[in-house]
Amino acid sequence: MVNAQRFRARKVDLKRTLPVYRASDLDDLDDDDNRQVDAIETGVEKDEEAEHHLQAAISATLAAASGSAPAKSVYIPTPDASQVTAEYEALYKQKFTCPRGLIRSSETVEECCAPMYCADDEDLGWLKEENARRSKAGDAELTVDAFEAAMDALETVTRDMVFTRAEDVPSPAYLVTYSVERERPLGRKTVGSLYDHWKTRRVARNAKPIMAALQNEDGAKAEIDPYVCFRRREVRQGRKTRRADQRSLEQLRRLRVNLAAAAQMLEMCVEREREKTAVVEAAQEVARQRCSVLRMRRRHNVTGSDFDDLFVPPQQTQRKRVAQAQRPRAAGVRKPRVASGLASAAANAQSNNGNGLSSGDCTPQPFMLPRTVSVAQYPAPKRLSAMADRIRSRAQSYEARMAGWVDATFAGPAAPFAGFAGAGSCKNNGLFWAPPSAASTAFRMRAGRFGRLYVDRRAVRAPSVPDARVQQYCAGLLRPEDHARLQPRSLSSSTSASDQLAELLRPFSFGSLENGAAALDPANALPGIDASSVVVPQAPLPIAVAQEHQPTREPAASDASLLSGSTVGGFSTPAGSKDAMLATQAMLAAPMLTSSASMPAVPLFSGAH
Amino acid sequence: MGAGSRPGTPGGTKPETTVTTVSNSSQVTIGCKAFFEKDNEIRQAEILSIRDKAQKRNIQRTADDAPLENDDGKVEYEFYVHYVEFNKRLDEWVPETRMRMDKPVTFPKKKNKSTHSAQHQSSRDKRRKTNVGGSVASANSPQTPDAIRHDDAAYTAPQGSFSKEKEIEKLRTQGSMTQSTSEVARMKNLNMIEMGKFQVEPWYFSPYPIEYSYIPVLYVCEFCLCFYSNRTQYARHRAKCTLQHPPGNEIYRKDDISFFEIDGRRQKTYCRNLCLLSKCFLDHKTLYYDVDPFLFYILTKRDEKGFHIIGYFSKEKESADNYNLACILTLPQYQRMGFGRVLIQFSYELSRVERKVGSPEKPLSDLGLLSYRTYWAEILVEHLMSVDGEISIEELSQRTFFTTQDIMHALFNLDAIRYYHGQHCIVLSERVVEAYERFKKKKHRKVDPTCLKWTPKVFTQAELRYI
Repeated sequence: MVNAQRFRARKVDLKRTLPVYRASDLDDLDDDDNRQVDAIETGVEKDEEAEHHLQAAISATLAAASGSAPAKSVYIPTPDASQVTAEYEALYKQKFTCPRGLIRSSETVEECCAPMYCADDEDLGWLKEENARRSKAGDAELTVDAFEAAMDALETVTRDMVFTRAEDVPSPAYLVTYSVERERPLGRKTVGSLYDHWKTRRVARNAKPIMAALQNEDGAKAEIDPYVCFRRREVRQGRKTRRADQRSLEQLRRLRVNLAAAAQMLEMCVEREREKTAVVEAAQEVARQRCSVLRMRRRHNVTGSDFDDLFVPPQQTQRKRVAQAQRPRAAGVRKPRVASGLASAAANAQSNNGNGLSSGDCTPQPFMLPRTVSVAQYPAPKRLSAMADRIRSRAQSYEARMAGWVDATFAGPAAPFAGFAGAGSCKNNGLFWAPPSAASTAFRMRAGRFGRLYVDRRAVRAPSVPDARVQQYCAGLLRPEDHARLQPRSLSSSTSASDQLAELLRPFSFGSLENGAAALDPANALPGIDASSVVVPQAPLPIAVAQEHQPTREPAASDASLLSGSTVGGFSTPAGSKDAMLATQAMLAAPMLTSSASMPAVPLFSGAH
Repeated sequence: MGAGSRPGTPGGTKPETTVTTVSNSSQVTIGCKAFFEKDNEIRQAEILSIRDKAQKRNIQRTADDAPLENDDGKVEYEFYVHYVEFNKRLDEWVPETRMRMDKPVTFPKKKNKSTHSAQHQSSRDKRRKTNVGGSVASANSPQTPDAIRHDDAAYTAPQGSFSKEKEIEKLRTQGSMTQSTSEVARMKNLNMIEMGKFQVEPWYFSPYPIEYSYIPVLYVCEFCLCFYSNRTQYARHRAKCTLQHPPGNEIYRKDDISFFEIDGRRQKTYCRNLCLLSKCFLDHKTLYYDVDPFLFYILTKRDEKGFHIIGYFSKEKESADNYNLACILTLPQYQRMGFGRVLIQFSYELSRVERKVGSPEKPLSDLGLLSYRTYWAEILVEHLMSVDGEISIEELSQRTFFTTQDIMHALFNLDAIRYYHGQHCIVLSERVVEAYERFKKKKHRKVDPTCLKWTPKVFTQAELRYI
């Protein structure tokens, strides 16, 4: 007994490793301090633990384990379950073919056994009579299936109705309307033929459903009624404690703080935007004042003071002066000024990472002359030819630099060609062009509202048409010989459709521009214009110029649009096409927005430089 | 059954009960304890109901009523008896001829309605007044005469520690193994169940619709488990029913044995039918609340007719107490064939996939306890035989996914925990080793873990709401 108590006092440490022995290995195992069977919680209800059969079985296994009795199976007797029915084969006729894979099924019992109503003997008796009557009248027979379906529909419709007396049973007409409302329409005819039978049965059942149903609604005594089952579980109410209250209070407080912070941030945003507007307005006002000063000077013929004083910020003025000093000044007084103004604008644009105006930048932009003022005053042909020269020389130097290299990047104007050469089967270049390394994706640039440009990445499934356009666009940036050298290669790699298009577009390509440019006097080339001045804010200019000065030369005009379009990032198309119109619109829209200081026109410049 | 009514139990009913002999069986009332012959033994049994043998009409007769007027012995009675200290599943109707008049009858205390000092007296006796299937409507019964009525006036909390509210709260928040609070549920309400090929006697009360109580045979479709009182209806149903396997996903198949997983929320009708059926064989199962929070794993055997249900176990979607199994049942027609072991092993295989130790929900039934003990012992011995040296209980738990408590339970049962040279150790007796060797030679049904194609379902809070 002492031993037993000592044993009980020390619990087995679950974490500690216990040596495992076979009883045969231990000869000095004392046998009397380990009978702790009583201490085990069996997990059986206390009342039932004492049951004779269970006790017999338990002691039998215990005896077997301790070796005091031979092991024999002791079973707890259970009621009889050995009888079989002779009707099984008649009732379960369906054969089953097992699918090879695991079965996955979500059909419910209702779906598999519909209708749930099953006719009993009384129903079948009535049905027999009804069918006898029908056959006499020459009507079609009412099958058991149809009967059950109709009864099921009636039972379903009246499921939620409460009626206790026979005279309260709803009329067939009401049932039909009601069923339509409930979106389970009953056939008027079926209801008509069945109704009396259904009503009789329902009344006989004290208005309860004909097929007995489980009780699961909570009535007054339902809590203890053993026949009420499968109740819904009510939502668990959290316990109301001081801590729970405090926690929710804390949560509410934090929510309030967060919301207040959000509101404050919004207010500050509004304030910032207001300030921005004020800045823009102030800049405009300054510009207007400057213009009036300029007008005033002109009217009073005040000379000597520099135009730049008025329009260029001091540090840029200096740089421009240096730059201009190195260039030959043209004869015109105002034109260089205009040009330098443009150049400074462009320079300024470039100084902002070459991206024009970044959206967050609120510093007043240097005033740029209104387009309408300047356009007519350009000697457009000269400017054009200068531009062409400039571009050509750039392309040349680029070519020279890239000689012997395949450009795998997407930076330079020749990149598309690399793409062409590399991905022979790729038909999706052009507006949809792919980086050479990744033929599976392609990029598209398109103009959105207000001149925003989007770079879309999309799956390769584009028509071959843009191929030619890109060739065209790229060809426009290269000299004829380069063009000739590259064209066969690129054309050979494109499909016949794009070949045809390329043929169609050939007259508009660089060659014609070459002709147009050659016809102009190179000496009239506008000094101080470099490629950077073709940046967007002045994008419409070439078009306007071209149309003004070369009204009869459509190709040149289209080439101009090609060039200017190229600066916008790929919207270069032959004149007259819809796309050209769109591109032009896009270009017209763009500068307005860039000058209003906050629209992100970021991608516009990156492609061209 | 009733703790308070067993002779010799402390706090029992002796002072309030009267022990006497009777000359005529018509003198006994519901709640009496008399001696009956059973299987060539004499057993004490409690009378739960009395009926007229010829008319099968139940008679309500409590201790408060006057004796039945049957002095001439014209009417023959039958008693529904529960044998004291035997499982309820053996309760039955016996003719009065089997009652031993030479033995004393223990009468319950007469109910005194005016006093409410009933807290310490036997609540069982207070609850004797139950009329089952009877035709006597008393004044406080507004229900229809044919309804089986439960006398709630007589229902009180049996002990101070037990309250109805607590019980219901326990039902709601915990699993499904709490005793029904009703007295009607003490009597079987079905006589015979015909299911597929088999005819099975039910063991316990099950809340099938009240209309189906006490009918000769309840017909249950083997595949959808729909039930019918009428042979014609059953045949009609069989003509329409297209199910040939449990309506869920098969997650295990090895030879002809398969397991199906069924979500109580999605397959409400099937799971309710299954619960009603299994309640016939599980005393402590409750159907108080709906089946939503459970997953059901159905063990089936395949033949040319389809997948026949052999047994099942249910499992809470989210168990607060780390239960890996709520209810487990092998249908009686398939018992003693090793399927219980398959079900138990499968529940632990699921725990292995979940990487969570688990335990069956309590209380266990007598059969459940024996099955679990056997299974635990087998698996633990198997592991211990391979251990060379030392092992901790926790490590055993991590290997077997049994809880440490269950392991201790099983080891104590094997008499394997010994105190030797100043410390605990695990000792496998020769008998245990012998039994294990014998077990290894025998062919047993086993679950093959490689055939289990299952990932634990994760339920969102929304899916677990209202359950």
